[in-house]
Amino acid sequence: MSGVPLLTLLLACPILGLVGVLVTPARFPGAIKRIAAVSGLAAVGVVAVLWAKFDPGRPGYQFLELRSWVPAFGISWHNGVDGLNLPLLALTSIVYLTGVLVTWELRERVKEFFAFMMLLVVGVFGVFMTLDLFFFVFYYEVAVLPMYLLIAIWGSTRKEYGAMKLTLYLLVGTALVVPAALALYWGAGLGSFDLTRLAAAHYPRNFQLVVYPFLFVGFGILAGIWPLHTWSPVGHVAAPTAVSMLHAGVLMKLGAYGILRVAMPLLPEGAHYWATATAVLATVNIVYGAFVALAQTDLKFVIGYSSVSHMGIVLLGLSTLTEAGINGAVFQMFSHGIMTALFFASVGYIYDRLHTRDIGRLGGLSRSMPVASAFFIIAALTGAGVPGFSSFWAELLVFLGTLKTFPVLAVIVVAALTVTLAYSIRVIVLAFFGEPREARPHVADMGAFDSLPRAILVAFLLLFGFAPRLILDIIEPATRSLVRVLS
Amino acid sequence: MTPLAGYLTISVALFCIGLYGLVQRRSLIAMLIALELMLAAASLNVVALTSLASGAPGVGVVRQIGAGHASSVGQVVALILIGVAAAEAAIALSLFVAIQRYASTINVEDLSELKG
Amino acid sequence: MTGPTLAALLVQFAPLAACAVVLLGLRRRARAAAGVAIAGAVISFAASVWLVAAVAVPDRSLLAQTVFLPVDAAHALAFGVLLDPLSTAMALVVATITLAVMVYSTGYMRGDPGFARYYGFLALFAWAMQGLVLSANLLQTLVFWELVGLASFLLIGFWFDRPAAVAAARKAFLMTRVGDVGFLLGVLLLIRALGLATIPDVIAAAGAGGGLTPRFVTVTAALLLMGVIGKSAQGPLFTWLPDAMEGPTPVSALLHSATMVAAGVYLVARLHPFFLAAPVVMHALLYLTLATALAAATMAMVASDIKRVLAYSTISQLGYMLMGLAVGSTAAGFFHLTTHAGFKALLFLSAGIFIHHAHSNEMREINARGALGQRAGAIGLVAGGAALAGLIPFSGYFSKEAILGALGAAAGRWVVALAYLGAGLTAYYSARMVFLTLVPDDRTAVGTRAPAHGEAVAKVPGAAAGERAMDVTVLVLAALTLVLGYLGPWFGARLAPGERVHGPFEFGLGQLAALALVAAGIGLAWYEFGRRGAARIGFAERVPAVAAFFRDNWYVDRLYRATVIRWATALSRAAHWNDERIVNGATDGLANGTVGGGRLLALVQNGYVQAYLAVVVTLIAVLAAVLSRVGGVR
Repeated sequence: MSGVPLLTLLLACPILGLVGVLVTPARFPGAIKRIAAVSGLAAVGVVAVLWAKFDPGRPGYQFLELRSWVPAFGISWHNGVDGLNLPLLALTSIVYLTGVLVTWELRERVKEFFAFMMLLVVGVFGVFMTLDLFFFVFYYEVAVLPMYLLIAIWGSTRKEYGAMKLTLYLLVGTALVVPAALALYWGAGLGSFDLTRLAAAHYPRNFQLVVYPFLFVGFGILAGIWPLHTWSPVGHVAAPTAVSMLHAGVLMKLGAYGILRVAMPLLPEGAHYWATATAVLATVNIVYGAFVALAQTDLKFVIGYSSVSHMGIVLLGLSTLTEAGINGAVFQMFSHGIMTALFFASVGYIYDRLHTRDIGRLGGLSRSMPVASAFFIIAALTGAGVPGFSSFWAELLVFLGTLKTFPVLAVIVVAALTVTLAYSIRVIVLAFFGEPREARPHVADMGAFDSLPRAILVAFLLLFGFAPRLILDIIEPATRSLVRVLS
Repeated sequence: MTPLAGYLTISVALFCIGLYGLVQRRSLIAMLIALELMLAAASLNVVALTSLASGAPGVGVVRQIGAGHASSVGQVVALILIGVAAAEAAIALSLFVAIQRYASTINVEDLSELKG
Repeated sequence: MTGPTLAALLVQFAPLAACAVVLLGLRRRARAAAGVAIAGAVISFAASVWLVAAVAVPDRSLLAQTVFLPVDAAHALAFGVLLDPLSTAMALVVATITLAVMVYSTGYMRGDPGFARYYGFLALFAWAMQGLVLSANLLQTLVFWELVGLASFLLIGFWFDRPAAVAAARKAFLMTRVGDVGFLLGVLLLIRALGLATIPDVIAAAGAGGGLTPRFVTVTAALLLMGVIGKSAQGPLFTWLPDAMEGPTPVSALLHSATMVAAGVYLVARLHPFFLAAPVVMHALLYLTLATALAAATMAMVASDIKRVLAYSTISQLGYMLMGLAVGSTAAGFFHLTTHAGFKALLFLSAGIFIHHAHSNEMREINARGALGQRAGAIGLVAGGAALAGLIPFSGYFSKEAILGALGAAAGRWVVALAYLGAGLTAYYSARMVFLTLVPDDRTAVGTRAPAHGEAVAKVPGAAAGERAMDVTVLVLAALTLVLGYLGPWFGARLAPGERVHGPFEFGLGQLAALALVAAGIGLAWYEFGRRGAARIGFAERVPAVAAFFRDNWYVDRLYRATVIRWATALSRAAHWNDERIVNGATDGLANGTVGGGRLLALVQNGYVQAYLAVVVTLIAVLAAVLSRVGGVR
């Protein structure tokens, strides 16, 4: 292994960017944006190096960094990568970079915006790379808090309400997670927050049965679990474009990742005991989210509820406790992150130009802005599970896993694909096809610069849609060892 | 009734009058006067009780200073209390002036900004 | 990699490359886009010809695959190509029709603002369809199956500012997806049971001693058939196909008659031994498709839009193909698929010439605008109509005979009788279409027969060359209808070695009865539509209730609107309401309750210092009293 601590380097990208933005006077917004873009590019670069150097064949964590930090409490600076978090790190860096690029036109309080955004990214990177429970919870909070300000200051529809709702829900999640994390710490009796050591500890069965739901629901709130999902669409709608991208694309994955990284390997018996219940909840997520999306009139609400539905697929995949299901869940996290970022990036462009997202007032957008519409339609088709885009494979694997463990749920979920298609097509048809329903000013279509970040996202969807092995070969060994722990 | 009881009775009466005034009067100045009354009651208590304590050595602070000088300790404390009361009155009065300038009143019924 | 594998990859990926180039780089350059797409189609066509020569003619079968999707530690799904006479012949059919339609479209779509996009989508379809045909794995089939659905959606909705086209595209996508749910479940079940879905392995597993229980095979076959029913517009899921005619006519020719809708038939043929291992399902399929074939024929009898007539006839003919397969004859079903692809594409493209000229789909309108002036179109329509009707020696006759023969050998008496009746109806509506379109109506005023002037018949530069391309395509396809019919024995030998297939000119009782019925159908049509002074109203159209019933898709759409669509809408509204009021209401209520509670408590803070003081003193006094009474202070 090389001597460069790549993961710390990755974390340093947004941190240095943050410092750079803070020392740059606010009267140079151009410079601030460039700093942000460079930081995003650097993050993508570091992740690319990680991806290239990662050896899927080797078991366990790679690129390990271990430094004792507070020995008295057993807190250490412990980072590592395996097949479960590498795709998520990649996802975060991609969404970060593209998020910066789609926000290029921001004029209002540029410095503060990028500072908060980078703080958010620091938290997300931290959660995805750390192997220490203390830092996990710490970064988790770091990621959540800037959200409030980003939405409440730069947001649109009912932004204070949305921001407050989001923050309160996430704090409820924290309120469940923190005691559970402390219970894990004391329960193990190792005096260590190190996840790798905690995973080796065996907790008594009753302990597992009690603590697991705390973790699942606590993290699940962030993943939009039904019926604690309503913060998510409201937050999506209120948030500015780049924040929506990060929020739906990355932040919701934190919850699922928490379940995957903390709850399941540490409490396997709890996971088994509660599997049916969580699978049923996840199925409700999928079906219910799809039906609600079908009745929405705001483009962003449709996407918000589609996220609820798609995150249900992730949770269902995790609940199956099978290799296929978890593979699919991780793949779906990645794929949904890219897809939903694309969704918000295209809607953001349209909203910025037309100042409406009401499906009833749009119509015929494919005629006036074909490129912008094409990006949205691609995202919608991905969401509808059209093959050729990565989501198809992810969902397929989840369905396979579900069919093994919960055949009835599998039938329901597969049947719900028609509803998924129905709401996707409904939006395409009503907003993008047909004639414009009201007079609107002529607006320019996307130029090359605006297309670039969206095209990057589409490229990833297609890449993994055509060659799912590129990512599954990385995920699969990690899942295999996780499933071994679970059984 | 021993002389001590007499002092204490007067002290209680003073304290009650002060309390009544503090609760009843609406003017800040009147309230301050009432407060001074209560303080005076307390001082009286101190002096009276330390004079009692001089006959019964070994009680609390008095013993550390010296049993023979206990009554004088009470008088010292009373003097300090008067000094504190003066300072307090000065601060309070200056605040009242500030309040008068800010709100054009020193009637406490009109100064209910702490209302929830 | 062997030669055939390479050729198979070329067949698929040449159109994909063309699609990528056109959609990404040539959006504004119409001529170049058409050129690239046609080049892709030509390469694909040449490669598929070579494939037929290398694989089908010597009757070989080969499978090349590579790991594509790891599922778990033990299993991984392999994708690849499965080459045998069936797949290569189908690939050739697809490549031929695709090429014909692309050439034809240079004329038909000339001047359309979305010309390049059109070719991009056609190339996308060509890739997806070839991928479907050549796929080695059922999951791979499913992938391409969905992709052809996507291409169909994009092409039906090609004129996306026309509400009717958009609605039709949406309906087609959704309705086929309903069937695909079954298909997906079937494939997932197979993968779960076998750990793989490679087609030869699946077939082997269904056979005797193959490891799958008959019950499992029955369930899976039924699920897979749901996809077939959706894609091939059979049974309850047929109504999307007539609506799909809102797309450009060449698209109807390619997707919605010749190739894509035949994918369902192809899938049954591909997995034929598997399906035959589930006789119950095959019986159900037989009755379902028989009913569909007859019902669609009645609808074709009253439709006045030429493309809708053709669409209903497509549904009906697909029903015949599936009937042939349901009674166990791969060769007959696939033979009919091939001939049908040829003559139905021909019919649509001829109709396209008229529509291009008359700017209307209505047969009476086309007739009034002088249909006979379009020489190539008239030839195509007559040849195609004859083939559809089953007139000897056009291709349709031979393949329909093969199916009726297979039915006669294996199905019950009533089924056979009804199938023959359907053949008669087919002849009737085909002849009706030809007469209504071509035979001048002597009762209409002479003046209207010239092309309308008010309408935009703007001559685009190069229009003459475009029309020549259309005419040539139609004439080539017309010639094909005279050739394809003789392929029957070859199909028999390649696809079903044990099966007895009639020679082309073997006349038994069945053939004569069929020909008699065809003659009767045509005669009736001539009496009602063709002869001088005919009323031009069919017997079914004389009863308004029946006509309305037939014309309105047997009220199936109304039924859906009244039930499924309504329920789904209500459910989604209910879910939305629940989310807004109950779930969100609960949290908002909790939040508001917290805030309100705080407000309530805050009332205690009245801001009067003296009140606070009084409370404090009182409390201290009470406390002192209590403590001294209890004796808490010593």
